[in-house]
Amino acid sequence: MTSLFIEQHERGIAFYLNGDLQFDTDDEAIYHEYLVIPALALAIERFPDTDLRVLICGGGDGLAAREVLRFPQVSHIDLVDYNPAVVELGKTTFKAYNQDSLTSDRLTIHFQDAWEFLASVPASTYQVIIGDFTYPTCREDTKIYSLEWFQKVNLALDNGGIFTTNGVSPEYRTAGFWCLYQTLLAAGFHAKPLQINIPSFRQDGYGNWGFFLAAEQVITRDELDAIAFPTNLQVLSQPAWLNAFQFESRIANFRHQVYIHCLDKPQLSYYLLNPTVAILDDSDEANFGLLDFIDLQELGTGQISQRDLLQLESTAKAWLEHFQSSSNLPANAPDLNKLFPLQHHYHSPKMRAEWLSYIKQFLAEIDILRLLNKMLERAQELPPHIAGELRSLAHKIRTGQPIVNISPSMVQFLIVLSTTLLMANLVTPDAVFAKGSYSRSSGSSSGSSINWSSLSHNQSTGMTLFGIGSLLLAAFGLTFIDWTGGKNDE
Amino acid sequence: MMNKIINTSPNIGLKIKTLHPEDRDLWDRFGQALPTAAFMQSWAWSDFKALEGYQVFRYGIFDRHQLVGGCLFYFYPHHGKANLLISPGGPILTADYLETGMKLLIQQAEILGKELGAIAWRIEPQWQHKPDCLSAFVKAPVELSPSETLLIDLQPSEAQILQSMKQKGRYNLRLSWRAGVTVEFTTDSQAIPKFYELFWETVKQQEFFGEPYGFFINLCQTLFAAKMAEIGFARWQGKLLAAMILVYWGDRATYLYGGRSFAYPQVRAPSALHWGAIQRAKQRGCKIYDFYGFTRDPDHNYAKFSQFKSQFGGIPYTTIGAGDYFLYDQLADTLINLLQNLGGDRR
Repeated sequence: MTSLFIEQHERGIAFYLNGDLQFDTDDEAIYHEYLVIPALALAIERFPDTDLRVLICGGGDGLAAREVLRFPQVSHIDLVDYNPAVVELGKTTFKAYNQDSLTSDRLTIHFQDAWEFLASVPASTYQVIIGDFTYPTCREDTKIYSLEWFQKVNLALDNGGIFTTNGVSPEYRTAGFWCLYQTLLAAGFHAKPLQINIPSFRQDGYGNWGFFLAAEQVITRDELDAIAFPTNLQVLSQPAWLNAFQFESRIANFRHQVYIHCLDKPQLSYYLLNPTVAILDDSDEANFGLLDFIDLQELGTGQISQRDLLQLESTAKAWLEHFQSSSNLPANAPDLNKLFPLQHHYHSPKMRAEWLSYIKQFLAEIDILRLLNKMLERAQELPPHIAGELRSLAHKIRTGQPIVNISPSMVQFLIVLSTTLLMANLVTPDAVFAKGSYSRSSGSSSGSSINWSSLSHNQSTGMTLFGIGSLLLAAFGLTFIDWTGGKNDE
Repeated sequence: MMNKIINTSPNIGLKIKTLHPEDRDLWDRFGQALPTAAFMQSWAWSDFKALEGYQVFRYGIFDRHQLVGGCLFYFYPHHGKANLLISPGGPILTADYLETGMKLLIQQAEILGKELGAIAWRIEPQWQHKPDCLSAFVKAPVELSPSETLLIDLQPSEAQILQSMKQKGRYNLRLSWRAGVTVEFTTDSQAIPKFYELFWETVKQQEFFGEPYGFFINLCQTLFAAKMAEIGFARWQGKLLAAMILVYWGDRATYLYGGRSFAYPQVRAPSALHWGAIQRAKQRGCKIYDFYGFTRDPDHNYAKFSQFKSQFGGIPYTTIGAGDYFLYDQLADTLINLLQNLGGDRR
């Protein structure tokens, strides 16, 4: 399903696709000129006397195509967009803004997934490929920012061809931005990052916006100094554009601290959802000043991570590692992004902190005997020492013996259970917003007056886990959180 | 009215079936006719949730060919086997089919849980008392929607409703009338940004969690198309001072979201807006105005909102809240896989 919304304002329109801003006519020219014009101008310099073939991936609104069509050297444009509804708007409502670009006889529209389209394209087909995709809001959306995607793009480009793509905000999504940079380098591109201020994006909370200009052959300063822009542009000027390659060092230095994004071990969603990983130490002198990427020719330093940090298994590993390090190092502050990464773009670190305060209640819900019995039915699949510990725990609960000490194996079991319960609750976007104690603007109660416990024979064993959960959390050093859950935002 | 059957033998004649688009009207008519039905179990709401990325599973329970209950299950896909099935406002079942209907739905939840990788099914039926059929459910630590609310009976005349308000409420309303605050309702989607501006001002001022703009675009566009919601504004001297989203379902109008400007408090725009919404709901034939969230606890964080709402009179109404049915086979499976993959290191 797709949601299309055109907000009309005094000066024009803003277009939202599935709730995300695509463009505002107030300043879309900034985005589209920076995305398209330099790449085309560079391609003209690199491929003189050539009929250029251009591929636009996404861009069904026709605005990127408008910019490409400025260049008479372009003989053909393929535009691939999977969404016919957007293209229809591009041909009608947006026609006045894209100068009717989508009906150009130099342009062919393909209603197809860009990934599939590119898979069918012969090598070296295009001199320019433009990535004009929407901001990735879920894991599936990040496929077209992966190593594998960039490799496909590289293959489809003519020798020396130019790839230009929008990125994310280097300011607010620093790790995500450099993850894209390192992924481009890993795919064999020489990539130049650049950033600009787009007021409507900033107003929507995106911060400075990033782009990449990339090619398999090194892009040199001489080339960039020599290219000529068309004369009738709305906003782009060569001096301003050349400045866009400069980044504050404190932002730029972060580029060596990220993993690349590939399909097997995706990282981009994690970086975008958990942006606080980009917080940098301002006290370090190396973080001051500017770094100009025009003069920088560097090889990639990004590695493929061993973990997909949004996966339950990674979370459980992070908890176990933290527990081990907590045992050795007192006052080791936990990295909540790793211990419990945000899973949805609606969520915030503040929400997570509140949500974590429910961990004991989550544990208290569990009929531990029933769970243990279910697990012990498959005891042969468990590591033997854990199976033994679970048997022992089941026996203690059954016979009413106190549980005073938690063995390391039991910690492992409890960590796995706790992270599973937390993850299950946190991956559902509504569960966070609708949490009873702070639900919605119209307010709500923190709980029902109905006593559910009388319904449940599980509560006694659940309370056992509640107590164990307290011990576990104390052991974790997570006691800085207000576990009472009584401290709400409202 | 549904035909009453005596279920001496549980599932005789009773079947659970997937609901298809052609069943939409049947399902919605059934839901709207029940006083315990919630808008979150409406087809349009499930369309909205689908737009938000949820998978929706719709099941009806039929006694022969007659729909007697059912449930919409929502599942937010995630790579992994730690997830929930949720049914805000559901299930919906007629009294005579509680036991047998619930059994079928639990069986369905178990099937879905296995297919999808969910470890629990969280329900939130709009019932005031726990039926025995929920004995396998435990109280969820969090709600999906407010379990305590304040309801205004819209069946008396406007004058009587006014009379039932607290004196302070009438006073505030008269202030707004004297100041010339006007109220309007619309389904024009161009009202969404105006609503959001006021909503977000309130979020910032009150420091509570607020959904992003895109959420409201999806919500309003879906519910407007289904004629299930309107945006209301209170305006004074050309300025928009308060806004709300009012949802209509069955005989109930629910104040779902709201926001206000913190300028010109003396003209009492929110009071005028709620009164306008009460009038609007009454005109549309609704019998209940639901403030969607209320607390009698003076120490609760939302106590001051509730104090404002209580100026309109009304009766507090409490439902049983959210309950979880754990799918222990699935939970055990997830834990075993994890323990295997983590190596089960002896530490």
